[in-house]
Amino acid sequence: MKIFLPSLKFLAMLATMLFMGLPVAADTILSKLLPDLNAAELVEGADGFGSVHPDIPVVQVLKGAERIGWAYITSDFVSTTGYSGKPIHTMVAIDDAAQVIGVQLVKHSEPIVLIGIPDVKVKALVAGYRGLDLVAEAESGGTAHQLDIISGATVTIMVIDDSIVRAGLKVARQLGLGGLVVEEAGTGPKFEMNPDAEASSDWMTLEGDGTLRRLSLDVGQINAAFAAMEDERAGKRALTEAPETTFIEMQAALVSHPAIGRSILGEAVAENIEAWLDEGDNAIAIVGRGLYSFKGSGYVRGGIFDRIFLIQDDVAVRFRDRMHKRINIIAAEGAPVFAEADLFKIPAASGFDPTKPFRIQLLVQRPVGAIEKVFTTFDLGYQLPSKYIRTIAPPPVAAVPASVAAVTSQSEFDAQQALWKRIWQGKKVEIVVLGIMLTILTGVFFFQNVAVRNERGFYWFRIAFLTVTLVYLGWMSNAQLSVVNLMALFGSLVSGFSWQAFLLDPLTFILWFSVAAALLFWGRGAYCGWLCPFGALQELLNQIARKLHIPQWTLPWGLHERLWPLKYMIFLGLFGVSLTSIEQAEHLAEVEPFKTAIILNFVRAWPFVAYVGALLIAGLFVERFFCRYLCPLGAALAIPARLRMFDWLKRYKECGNPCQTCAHQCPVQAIHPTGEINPNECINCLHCQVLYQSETTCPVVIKKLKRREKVGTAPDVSRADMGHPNQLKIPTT
Amino acid sequence: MSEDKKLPISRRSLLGATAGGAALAGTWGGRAMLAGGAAGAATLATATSARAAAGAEVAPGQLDEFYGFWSSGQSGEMRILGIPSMRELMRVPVFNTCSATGWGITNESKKILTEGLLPKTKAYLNANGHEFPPNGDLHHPHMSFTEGKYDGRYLFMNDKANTRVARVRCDVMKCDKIIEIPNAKAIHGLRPQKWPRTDYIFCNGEDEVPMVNDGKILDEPEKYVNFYTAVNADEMTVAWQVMVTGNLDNTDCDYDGKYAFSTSYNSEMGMNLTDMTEADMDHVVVFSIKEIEAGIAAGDFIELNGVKVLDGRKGTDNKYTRYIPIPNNPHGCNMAPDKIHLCIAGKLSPTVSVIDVRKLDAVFNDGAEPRSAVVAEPELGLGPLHTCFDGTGDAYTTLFLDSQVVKWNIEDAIKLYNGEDVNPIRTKADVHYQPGHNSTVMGETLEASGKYYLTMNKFSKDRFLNVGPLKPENEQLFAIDGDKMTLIHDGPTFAEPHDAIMVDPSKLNPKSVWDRNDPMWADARIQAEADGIDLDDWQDTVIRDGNKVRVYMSSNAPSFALESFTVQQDNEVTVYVTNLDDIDDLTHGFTLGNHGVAMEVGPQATSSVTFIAAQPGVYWYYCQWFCHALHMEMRGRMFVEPKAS
Repeated sequence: MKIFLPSLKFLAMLATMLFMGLPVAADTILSKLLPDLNAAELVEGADGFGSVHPDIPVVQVLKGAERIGWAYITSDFVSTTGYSGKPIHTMVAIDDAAQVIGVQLVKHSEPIVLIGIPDVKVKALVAGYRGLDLVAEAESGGTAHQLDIISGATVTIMVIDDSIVRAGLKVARQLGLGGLVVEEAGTGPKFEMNPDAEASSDWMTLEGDGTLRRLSLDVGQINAAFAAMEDERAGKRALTEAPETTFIEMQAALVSHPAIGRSILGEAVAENIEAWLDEGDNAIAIVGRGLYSFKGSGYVRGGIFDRIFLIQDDVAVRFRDRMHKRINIIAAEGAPVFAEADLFKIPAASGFDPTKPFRIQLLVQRPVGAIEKVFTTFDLGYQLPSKYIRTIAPPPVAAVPASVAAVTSQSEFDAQQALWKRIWQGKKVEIVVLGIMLTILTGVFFFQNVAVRNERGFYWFRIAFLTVTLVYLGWMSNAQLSVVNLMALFGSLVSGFSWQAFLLDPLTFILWFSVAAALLFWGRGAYCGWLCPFGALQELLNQIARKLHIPQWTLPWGLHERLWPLKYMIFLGLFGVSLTSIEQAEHLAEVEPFKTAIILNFVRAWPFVAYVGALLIAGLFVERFFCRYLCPLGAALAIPARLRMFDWLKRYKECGNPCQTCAHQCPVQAIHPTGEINPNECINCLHCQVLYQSETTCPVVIKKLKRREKVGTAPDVSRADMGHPNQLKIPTT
Repeated sequence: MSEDKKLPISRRSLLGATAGGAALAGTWGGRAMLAGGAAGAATLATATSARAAAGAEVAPGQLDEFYGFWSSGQSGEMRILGIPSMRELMRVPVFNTCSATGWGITNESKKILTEGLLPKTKAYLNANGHEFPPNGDLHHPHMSFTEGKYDGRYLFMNDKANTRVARVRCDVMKCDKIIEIPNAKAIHGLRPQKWPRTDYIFCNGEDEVPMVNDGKILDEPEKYVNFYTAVNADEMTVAWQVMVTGNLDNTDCDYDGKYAFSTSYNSEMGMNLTDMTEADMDHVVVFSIKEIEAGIAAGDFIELNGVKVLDGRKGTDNKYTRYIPIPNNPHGCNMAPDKIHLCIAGKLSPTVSVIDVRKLDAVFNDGAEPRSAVVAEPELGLGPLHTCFDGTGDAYTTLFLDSQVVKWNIEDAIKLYNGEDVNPIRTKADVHYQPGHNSTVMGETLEASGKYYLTMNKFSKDRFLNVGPLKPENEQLFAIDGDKMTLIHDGPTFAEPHDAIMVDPSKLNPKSVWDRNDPMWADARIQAEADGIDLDDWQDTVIRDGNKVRVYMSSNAPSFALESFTVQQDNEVTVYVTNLDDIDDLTHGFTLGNHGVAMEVGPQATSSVTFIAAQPGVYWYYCQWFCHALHMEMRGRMFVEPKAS
């Protein structure tokens, strides 16, 4: 299950991206950095960049009119997070034979200058990758070249090295350069760890059956490896121990398999480790002894282990101190003495597949000067033995057992059917919660006169509902509709509509479905006022602002009325742009703050966050500022809402003539001075319906009550009103 | 696992077994555990046992080879450890208050904590309800010298937090003097004069302030100065101060009694990180002690807060100081026991600059270029902080950024500087993690030896069982064996030792019981004489003197001489307890319940404490230092009669 769910999550994410029509190349680092880059500096003899590839973020490198290669930023393809925690952007150019023809360190935040290593030194080293043969790297798994390291900047250089090679392979494969092709994925059977497999509790048996894998190096081998280096200094400083002395003996086991974890770490620790791992994470235990430590002491400076490195195809995992734990005691019987025993977390996000082979690369260093070191690498290969692996079985909850089991033989249509069903199964809880919310809301609208009778109660009901909308629908489930959805819908109507694509995101699907229904009954307000997470965020913040006595600004009606149309203009503009370029329209749709505030939880570049911040601050003074004047989605919903069949919101004839109480209290100023409610602006908060019945605020009701009081001494004939035609009629209004 | 902790093997046999593996494997056969570091490495592939490295183990009942005197940084106390076991033997409260010993509660300790404070500071403390600063930051403990060797009289130490210097008497291991240094701010580096004897304690003021810091000058850094202070070690008074340019970090002095030295990481006089690290070259300041003394005699000083202050700033044509440029934010300042070489660690520069102190006469007298005194500047690694010596011409420098120690040879470094193709580096060893100070046994004296090497690491990270986000420091002890350094002990310590010295036990002769004539309770003795009490005999007398009540009681295990005493509400009560037990390690205590009163009374010692008896009622006092089988019964009552209302 642990393995299965993340892949499902990934599919769902992919599906959402398809649904929203996000192109892979939107918003790339290349597009940001390209204007400041110079092709001639990157590639000798080049004189400019050509056009950007339509599918992946690579740009043509031109010499005259001829394309001599492709250039790209490594960070667009692989993680390049360095020492500083920020990406190291390297631009690489490769030719059609998959040879690197230019490398340039474009941007980094590495603090290497602080520790006395000049920036130029790193730049020069990076430029040295010119000539790297990616075809050879593909064959050797990225070890065909020699790694040159500037000591003190080990991690920086290793990240750069790794990103150049792996991003290069990705680009070369996708463009088919040098005969490289995209590795076939998903054609064979799929595998997962078999949690029911048993592991031996004896160390020797675990070694024997391949649960533990070993890398063993003696001093002789190490001396030979350094002696063979071009740098003569490396050989000169040979270790003086006897050649058969153990340099390092390192063993590894994948302890995220529950049985392996239990037998190596013991029941209790294995349980703790399982809690330490998030869904889809894996963990590897590494133990070692000998002259050389696989951890060293240098990792503490930057918090990155600089001597070990996990590689699986194009996946590379560098371990940070946060992903590390010591092993106190090895539980397996007969375990030898180790100088070091440590656990490392392999995060799910790395794309690591525990069922596939991988290797732990050990970086061996030898100082050749006071601050200069040379390096060589050795691999500890690992493959989880087959007894711990099984082919993916249908998920236990699947209602269609045959369809998923036979996933590889399905037709494309069947596969998609199965996929969306599986996704709906997986989102059961969210769907049920949303269903309950919609039922409650429908009930409130249908029985609004009852619902709004208790002013205080209704206020807190609304606050609670909005909180659920914001926290559960928004932040937890990311169910935020967007004008992008509408544009994608229109796009798919033009290019061939398919239910499949829309069914892949159940919450969005259900929300749109209910929005469509609500438009007929109540207008746009049902969504905007109750189900939109960003709307809820604004309203809740504004409620807090009011509690804090932040002054509320009421815009003069004339200005207010003229600002309304803004959102329609924004929507029409977006719609227009989407007809020519849906990507462009999506960029522009960032005018919606939803992505930043709801989907990405504000973890985004500062301009986006600042924009949302500005909107939310405006919302503190002017309730639902964004909804009222800017929201293109609201505008898009308001147009078809004209179709609605009923007017549910009750009015007296005195409303607006002369009474302005509701109009003043309407949180979005949707009530005209003349008394009618503007359905395009109304968010169906029902506040005017609360007032409609208020015995303290509504003058009509008050007047009625007073009159009743006057006739209070008379028999309460109204109580005895049995509809008898002879009964005395008492005027009530 | 407990049976695995004691190993049938000593450090010597481990190190002796050079071909190692096979012999050891046999000894350790059959035990499954994790071996630590380099010692584990020696066990090789066939070993199947042993949790911790052997070597630092001192068997039960055996004594350690050396004393270790430890600072405790912001804990404010001094600690005594045993080397090589790294067992903590004692804590000596100095700048802190101590619940166990009553340091900061007893009249005797309060006198020491308050008598050396400046009037301005006292007024400040008074305004904040304190009698003395409630905290201290004790960085550098160093022993007094006679002719370049430890003489076992005193230990001196600084308080960076409140600009104080303290002295600990080595005969009783108690602090006997604390003085606040006027003018200077944040005493950081501190070293006793080595030659001919410790007449002076040299103290660095780290923080730059206006010459007269009375608030008239505030954010005008160009008007700030730093003060280098010499304290008269015998009297614990300020002898003189020298104003300098740039701030002062660490200090040391030569073996000729001629010069003292201070590193400066902020020669720029910058007020933020960028400015402080701006210049590629900062400097070490050299002070000429003879010239300074002559200047004082000639009256070439100003008097500032009662201190004779000389002007040794850059750009003044002064005879007192010379500034030798050193790259780059230098930190450690360590004089080699060869009496010739001063090693200045470069911190942001991967170098250590070696100054030949014999060349300083020319710099002072003949106008020689200051840099001409630099005779070597080897690159050693990233983040060199401090250097110590083993007396063979080798030096050990901590590399903070590399988390390593480098052992190197001074003569080879000089040859390299002169263009020869030699490698001064002997070896490097990983330390865990990020080392600051280091020491060898008596490495800062003429008796430097190379048996053990101590590295004081600022981070322990994953080296110990996790105790939460606040983790101990890690002091690591290495055995030195030729060019090999073998890690033999990881020592977790609480906040936050900076520096330590290791001293041969032959240098010290601490007492086991107090001398009745000890000056520590001289004030109590004077008062007792005035009250007609013999402080050296059985005492069970209560003296009533107006609103003041003085209770004299002796203690013999397991009882106080007074089973009860009576006072009036709001009396100012002073209790003098004299421990008449003349028995090693028989310490008594006096704790008065619900009164925040507690003190240690060592064998043959007198301690006193004063409080206002503000609450009427019955209150028990008891002995809190376990003294006897009937220790629990060693208690008595104080009756406080309510005030007549």
